[in-house]
Amino acid sequence: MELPVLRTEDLPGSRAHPIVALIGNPNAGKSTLFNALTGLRATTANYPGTTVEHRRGPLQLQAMSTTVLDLPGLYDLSSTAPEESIAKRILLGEMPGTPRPELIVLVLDATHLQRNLFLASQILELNRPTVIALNMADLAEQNDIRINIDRLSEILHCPVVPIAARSGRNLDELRRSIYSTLRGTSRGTIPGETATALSEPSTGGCATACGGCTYASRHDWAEEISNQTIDSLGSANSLRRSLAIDQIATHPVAGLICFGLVMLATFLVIFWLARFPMDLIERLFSWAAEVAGTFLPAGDLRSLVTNGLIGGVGGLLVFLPQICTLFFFLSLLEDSGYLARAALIMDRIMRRVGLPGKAFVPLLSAHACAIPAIMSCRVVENRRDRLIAILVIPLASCSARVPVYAMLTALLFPAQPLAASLAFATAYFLGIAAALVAAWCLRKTILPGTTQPLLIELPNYRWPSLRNAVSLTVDRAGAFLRNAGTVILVISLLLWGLATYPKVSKDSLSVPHRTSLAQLELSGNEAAVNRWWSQTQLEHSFAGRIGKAIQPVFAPLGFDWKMSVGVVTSFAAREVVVSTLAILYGMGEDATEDGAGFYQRLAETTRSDGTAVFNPAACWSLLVFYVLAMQCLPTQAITRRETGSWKWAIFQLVYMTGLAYGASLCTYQIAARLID
Amino acid sequence: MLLNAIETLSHCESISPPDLLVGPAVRSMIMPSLPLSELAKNDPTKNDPALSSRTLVVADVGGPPELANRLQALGFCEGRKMTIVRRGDPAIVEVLGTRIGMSSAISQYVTVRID
Repeated sequence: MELPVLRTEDLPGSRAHPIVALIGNPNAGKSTLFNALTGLRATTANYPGTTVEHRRGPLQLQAMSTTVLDLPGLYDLSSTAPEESIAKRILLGEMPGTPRPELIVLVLDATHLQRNLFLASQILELNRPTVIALNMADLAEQNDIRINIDRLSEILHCPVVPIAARSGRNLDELRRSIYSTLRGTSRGTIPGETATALSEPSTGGCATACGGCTYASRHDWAEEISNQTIDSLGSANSLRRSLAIDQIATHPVAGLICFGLVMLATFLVIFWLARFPMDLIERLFSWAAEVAGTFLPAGDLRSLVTNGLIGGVGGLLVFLPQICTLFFFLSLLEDSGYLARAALIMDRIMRRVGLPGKAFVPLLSAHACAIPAIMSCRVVENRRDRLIAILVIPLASCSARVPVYAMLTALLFPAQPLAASLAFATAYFLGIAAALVAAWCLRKTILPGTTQPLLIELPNYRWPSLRNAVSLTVDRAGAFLRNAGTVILVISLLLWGLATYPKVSKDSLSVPHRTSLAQLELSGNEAAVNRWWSQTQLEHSFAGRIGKAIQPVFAPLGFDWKMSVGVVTSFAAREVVVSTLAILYGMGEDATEDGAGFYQRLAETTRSDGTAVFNPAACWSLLVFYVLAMQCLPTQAITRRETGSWKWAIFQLVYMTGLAYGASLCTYQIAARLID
Repeated sequence: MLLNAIETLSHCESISPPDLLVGPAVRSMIMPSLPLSELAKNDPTKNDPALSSRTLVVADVGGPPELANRLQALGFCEGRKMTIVRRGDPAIVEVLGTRIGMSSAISQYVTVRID
């Protein structure tokens, strides 16, 4: 599994434009501090040659412009895991393209000082100018934890600033401290002294017991410092509250119910909230296409602009509301500390199919949209586990499948709403079942190994930060547009070309076509003539010809050539199949707006021999095909981004299409025999 | 309470009966160590309420070096105290003031004794 080499702009980094690195434990509030210091001007990039991401943002300190780097949250700098070793290389200035940071801001959680001091012992040993940001000072106060700041600063030989990144308390003082340390007016760490403190732990007991275990002596050192500087251990109110919530939230049974309710509520809000901007975007773009149409002369240019360009951009942007709302709410859930519990209670169940508990929320999110779901797979640390999750996620029924399911279930059960909704639910169930089975199969075949066992910190519950949620949302939306934008636009234009060319003219028509056109024109029904033209145009276009050419491949699945064209045109976006069928069956694209009427007319279409085109067996087969087939180009672009190569995106396309074909084949062949 | 604990421990095959015949003082000195995964199991026969609130001491951390180092950095380091907050798989344990969710595939590498 090769790692992608992504270019990152080299940072200038000099005394005039220094780099400040933020480092701290996960859950210490490092990202909150980063967002508070840099506002929403941060950019995300990968380190050269890795998939490890980092964020950087500008920080203006009086006349000095600096760049702040947000390093991965970590427990142990000496670990050989990718994130930790990258953090270490950056701090030491060994990372190509990233000059050595002039200053380290070490973020410590005041409510867990002793635990956080373990990392501090490693950072201070680097002997770099360091400022300690003692975060969550407000929470410590509320819990009556009293830390002697001056004493801590004295022992650690560096400035310690108590802050509350979430509310922005004392950030000015932190900036001042960073500034003066950078200017060299304040005392930095004094080489040697911390090292001495570490090599001679005053509590000699453990050093003898574990015989020079560096971890043990670091913990002893941390305990010693925390004993010397914490005046009051406090009342642990947050802890008690968290423990009380966890009585339910981590209970094997009640926890599952609680998780189900939280997720149900989250998704209802996401679906409800995303609908408004999605409608707005769709309306805006069809209005833009209309307006552009009036300014451009009829012909290819107008079609290119209105259908190809505006349609393509609209098709790209329509994903944004769901991506944004999903990430916004996931960030709130993560920040509150709940997602860690969700991973814990789902781990036992997910492990059976070879996925870690942390992959469950992404898999669930895929029911809204596979794109944010795949992007949120980063929470899964192990690369193999993450790859499996990414590969199976598009099998979950996303919201783009809804119009297709709606059409097919209505065709299957026209006057039976209950049966239709059951069929609808079956499609969803088939999707998730296929995803779990596929995960299990991948684990047994090309991605063998054991699922990384769960080891996760359960932080105390706290109110989530809106700023963090907005920052993450903006970041992910930007990543989607940058990475998927070009590919989607190019393919949209390509598909437009395939569906538009070669043009048909009256002269090129065959005799039966000419006769039917003449009859229509005689009737004086202009709308019918227009529908006839778009139908004939699509039929004679490259897409139509490809569809007709590959129809024999789809014949065993019960698809006629029109459905085969639909499979071709909906390659980039599965919902397109509905409008393609509307055009090809001569109803015009607008017919889809009249739901029930449209379905009824589709159901009435017959083959030349008088049998129904949309017979139950063909409908079931088409339904199964659209549950399982990839048919979404933006997802492919994101898979490429997240796995680092087109290889996995292509693998995903091939296996899903193969699975869809096989399953549809079985469905049609069995259903056709059962129904006859 | 200690006797309760020892009875609980004696369910484990790794402990030989003679260990239980010595006096309390000696007993605590030679208190056998056992994998955390055993204690964290959600097994009603071993589910002694007295034990669940007991402080445990980490005796040894094994397993693949990378995992052992990670566990030690998290605080599962020889001589450190910890408690089991919720049994089961994954279990929740508390060390250095933080609760950590841990599956038995990991807790099998942490050997503990009762404080």
